[in-house]
Amino acid sequence: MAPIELRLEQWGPAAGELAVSEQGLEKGRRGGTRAFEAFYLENFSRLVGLALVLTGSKELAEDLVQDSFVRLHRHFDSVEAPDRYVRQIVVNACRSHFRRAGRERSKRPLLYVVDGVTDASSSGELADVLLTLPYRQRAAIVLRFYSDLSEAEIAELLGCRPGTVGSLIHRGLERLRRELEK
Amino acid sequence: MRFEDELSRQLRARASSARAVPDAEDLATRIRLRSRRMERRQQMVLMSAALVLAASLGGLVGAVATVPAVRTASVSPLRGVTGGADRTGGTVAPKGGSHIERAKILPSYTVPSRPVVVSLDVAGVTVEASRRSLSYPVAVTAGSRQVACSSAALVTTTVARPGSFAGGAAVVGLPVLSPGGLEIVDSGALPLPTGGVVWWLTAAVGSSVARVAAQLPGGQIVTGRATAGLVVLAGAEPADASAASVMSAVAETAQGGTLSSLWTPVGAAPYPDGEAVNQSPGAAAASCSTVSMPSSPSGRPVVSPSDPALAAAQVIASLETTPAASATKGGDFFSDAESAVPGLTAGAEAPFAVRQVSFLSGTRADVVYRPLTSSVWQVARAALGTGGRWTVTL
Repeated sequence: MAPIELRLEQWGPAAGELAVSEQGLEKGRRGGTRAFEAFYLENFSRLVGLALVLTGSKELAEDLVQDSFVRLHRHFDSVEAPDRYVRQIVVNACRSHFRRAGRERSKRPLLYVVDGVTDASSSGELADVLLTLPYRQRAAIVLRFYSDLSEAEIAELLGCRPGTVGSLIHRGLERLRRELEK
Repeated sequence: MRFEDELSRQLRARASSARAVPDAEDLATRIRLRSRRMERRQQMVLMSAALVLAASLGGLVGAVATVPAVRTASVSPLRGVTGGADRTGGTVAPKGGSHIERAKILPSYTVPSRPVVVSLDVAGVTVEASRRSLSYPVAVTAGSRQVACSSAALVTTTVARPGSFAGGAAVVGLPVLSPGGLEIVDSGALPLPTGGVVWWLTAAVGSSVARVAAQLPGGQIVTGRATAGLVVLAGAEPADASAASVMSAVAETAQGGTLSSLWTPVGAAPYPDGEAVNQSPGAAAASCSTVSMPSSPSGRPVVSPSDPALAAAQVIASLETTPAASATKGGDFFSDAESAVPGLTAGAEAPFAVRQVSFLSGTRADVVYRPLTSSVWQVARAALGTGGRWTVTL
């Protein structure tokens, strides 16, 4: 793979020296273009994977993750945990995308006939069937079984109580099973 | 394998299949675009706030600057009188009644403290005239000729004594006057408690005019010096003097040479004159075209009949007999003129206000008049007929 050429000067003035620890960015000494660059390179692929399982589209996932990093850039020096912050942005961006798409579909006139479209549930792949679930159920399952987050962390990300997360995961798994048994 | 474990394995396999490559250049472009959007948004917010602030302050400043000026000067952008006194001693309401209101609508030229050009004291009555150049070119509407929009001045005459006042204001187009020109801007009369009136006449004069001499019917001569293009004449008339008196006004050089002359009723009631239309400095001259003041005898050699006072009175009174005049009658000037001038056959009421009579020759004259139902001054041609009588053709 060709080396990635970064144009650091395009990201704005450096606000501090590079301070990347083994775990990522060191709190308190974070900041500056190079730190952001390192964080971006380190987390981009992981976040695209998260967005991909949430949306089912690689292009859409990359686009949403890029926009999420744009949003992070403004607050990179001020947030305590940029990795959690950007993950929250990605999850919210995916939800916003589906909300927007749902609104647009509701406004679209029914002038075409859907034909030849593969039913995601018929592929037999769990990841495909997952896309048929409501977004909150899907997000709860993905964050639990892909990102290995606790129910409390998921609850914080989705803005609900931990008990609700358990309910979302339970009902989502039940529905997945039913779909796969069909 | 548990269902949950299989789900986790498939999700990781799906995520790892993406093989996403970071695109730093695209990210940098997006960051720049977002930064610009936010800057524009902030600018819009600041501009909106500035506009709201400017609108608020503008209204406040406009109110502070305009309203007191209108109140103190009692003038409007119109050429006309905003107040006056009737012949019984009481004050009269401004004719038209909407001058002050229209001044608020057209606040383009505010009238701050007025520089007094001429100040006279006649029988305890103070007569003051002020002149202020307007900062915008204006179109003065009067008469029927179209001329270009021009610079102009607001001329205000204030006549006051304890208990009553009179006065008038007019917008005068400056280029209209020739160097030897003479143009009546305002005239009127303020009744005195002891009887009689103090009459005044404010005239705009050209640059070559040093003074204006007026001769009253009784032979009395009143002279006024030209100051900043203005001449104010004033005098006291006894109670038994005819209100229909006609006096001559002659513009003279410093050496006494005559430049122009005209005839005008003495102490004519205050009258509204033409209308001034404000124009912004950037307005095209074509769109600022206007109707000029009626042609005046400015710069013409002085020629007059053998008895110009009688001729002027006949010219004025002959308006009464025109077909157009007989249809609508009003006013009282001509009835007075009829009794004052022998041989006149004018009716009891006149439908016109007369401003000035200018003799072009011994047998021809221009009379500036205005139907009482109109605010536009017009020019009519008068000629001496074969029977020795002056007739006016409208």
